[in-house]
Amino acid sequence: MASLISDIEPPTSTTTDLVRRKKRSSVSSAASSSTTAGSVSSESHARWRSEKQQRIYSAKLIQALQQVRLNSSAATTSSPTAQKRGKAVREAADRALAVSARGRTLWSRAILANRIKLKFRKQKRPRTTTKIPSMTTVVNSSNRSRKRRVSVLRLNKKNIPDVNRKVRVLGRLVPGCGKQSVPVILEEATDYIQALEMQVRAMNSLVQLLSSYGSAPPPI
Amino acid sequence: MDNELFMNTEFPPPPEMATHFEPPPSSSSAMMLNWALMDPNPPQDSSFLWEKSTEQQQQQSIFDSALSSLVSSPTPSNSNFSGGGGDGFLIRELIGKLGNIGNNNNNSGEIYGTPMSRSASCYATPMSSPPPPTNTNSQMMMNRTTPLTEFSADPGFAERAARFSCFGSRSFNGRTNTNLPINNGNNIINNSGKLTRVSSTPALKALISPEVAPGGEFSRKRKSVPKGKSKENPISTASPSPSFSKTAEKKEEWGGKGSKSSEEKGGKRRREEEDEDEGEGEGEGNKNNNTKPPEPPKDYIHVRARRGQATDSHSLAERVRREKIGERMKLLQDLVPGCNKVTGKALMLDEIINYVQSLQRQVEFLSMKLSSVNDTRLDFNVDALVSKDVMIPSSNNRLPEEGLQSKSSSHHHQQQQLQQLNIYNNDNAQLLSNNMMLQSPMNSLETSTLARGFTHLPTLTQFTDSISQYQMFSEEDLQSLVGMGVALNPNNESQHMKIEL
Repeated sequence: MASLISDIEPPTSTTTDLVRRKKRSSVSSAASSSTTAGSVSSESHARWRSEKQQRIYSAKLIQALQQVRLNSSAATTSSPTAQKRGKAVREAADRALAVSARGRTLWSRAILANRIKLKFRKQKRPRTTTKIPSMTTVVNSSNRSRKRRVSVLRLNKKNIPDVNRKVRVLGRLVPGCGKQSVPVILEEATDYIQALEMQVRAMNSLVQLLSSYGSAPPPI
Repeated sequence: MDNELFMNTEFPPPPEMATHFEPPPSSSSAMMLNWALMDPNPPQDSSFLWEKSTEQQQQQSIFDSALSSLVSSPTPSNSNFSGGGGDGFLIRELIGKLGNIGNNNNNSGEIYGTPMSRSASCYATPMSSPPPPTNTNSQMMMNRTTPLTEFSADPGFAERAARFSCFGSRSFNGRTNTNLPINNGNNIINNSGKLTRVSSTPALKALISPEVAPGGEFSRKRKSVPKGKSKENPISTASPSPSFSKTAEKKEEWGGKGSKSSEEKGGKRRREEEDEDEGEGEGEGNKNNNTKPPEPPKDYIHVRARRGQATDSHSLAERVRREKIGERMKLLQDLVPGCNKVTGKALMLDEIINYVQSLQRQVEFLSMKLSSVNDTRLDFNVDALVSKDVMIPSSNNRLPEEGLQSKSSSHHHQQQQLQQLNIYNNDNAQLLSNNMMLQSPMNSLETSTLARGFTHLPTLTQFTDSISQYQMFSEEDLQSLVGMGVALNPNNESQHMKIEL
């Protein structure tokens, strides 16, 4: 038991260490910018970097993962392919992230809306995959690879200045920002990057904990 | 004369404007918020606008004469107004007041601060002493009203002007509907070294219109990002949005009809006024002149042309837009590692795109890893993952053993199953295949660590009989948990669980 306790402790401390270490003081840098964009970014900076946010997100993520596991076990007798499972997990993680964003950002709303749309479409008209544009969206349907239609044709042909074109590409990467204006895309990208960073950190720590748990020898 | 040119460009005949501005954009409502005091109904503004414009134009002739007198007066370098006469003083005072009001922080102290101080010193007599700068629009309004009453030839004009100033968002094309009583102000503006930002408060406008207000350029061009120093030329501020260019075009149309230069100046003044009044601009735009409270309604942002730079509406709008984008790029640069070394937007964007892609790939990879870990590890210590506190109840250590040993399907045993227990039962093929998640609320009661938001524990499948039963529990509890939110309070959770059971 003592070993068990000792085994259990390090993972948690690791998690907390990770969480604490990730916290950066971004307020100072953000505070320098006095504009509203700056204020928004500083607020989002503090938001996504805080321990509290990471904890909240981790909690939601774990819940979602458990749900996924429940669903997958209930739905299929034979384990689904690893890729499908991975996709399901990824979508669950993205959804959890979007929920953590509290609906203030475009991309979070788009992620959540996608899911609802997908469910809706599944019920109404079982269509095959729609036309697939050249880029893949971040959120994919679990059963069908639905790709968001984002027009990319024009971008390569038109003589758009490089910066604009790249911003458009960035907009396609960020969910929900395919057809937004440049400043909006940039703003969404800042928040999205921060959220992604937090997501990566949380998932990393989660994987670490889980794998460390698995590797711990059972107390006998 | 430049003034005339500007005026021509800015003010199309009112009837034409009316057609343009009939449908106020919904965003105008945002602007209206700023002018809540004045008028909360955007649609009415356009109509008001037109009324005002007609009135103003009628009064323009009056203003011209007044302006000339104002222009003659010498102006200090800093002052926005070169008005020398009493009117000039009044106007300067107004502008100063407006400037201060618009500025929450003294960003453009040069622009606003000096006139204010000067006005305070100079204009004690003609008008009531300028009230202390206030950030609230209401106060500004009130401050203005005093001078306005003196000036305004039309009592309702101020209100209309106020409404008028509350144009919608940038997308509102009708913005450039400027009241041109201030056309004459262009002269004054031209003389001043800097472009004075005349607040667009209705009071001010009303003040200006009858007065001649040198600063009363009512170019309704609202721009994002009031920036730059005043310029010699009265400029229609270019809005950062494309619609703004539209307004600029319209302004030009107007210019043909009315006196151009003065109108432009007036428009610019007005824009500035509006900026000052609102104290808020769109998004990040208002760094320079206005420091708005961090809740900018979708409103016009007034831009001031920088010294020595182009002053036409298009370039101003461009500049505003560029600055906004530049601002955001800077934020992104801080965010993305490795962007500091890169100079230039294109390269930075490349870095950013690569970074986002790498993050997404990382997430994908981690999700695959998690899914595999999920499958192999039935259970994980949720509490340990989430909670900061290292709570390792000793009972947990014992329970797994008990659970392993007791094969009864009793509820009690199941409740005693803990996450750690499950982990050590991976050998059990049944466990792996079933991969069920049973909720064990009672466990949370017994173990504080479990009393978190995650009561879905993939428990052993030893008790297949009761599995379905517990599945139901788990789902219910899950939903309840979700409803409650992710609560990390063990006590609440446990209590809740208890009740449900």
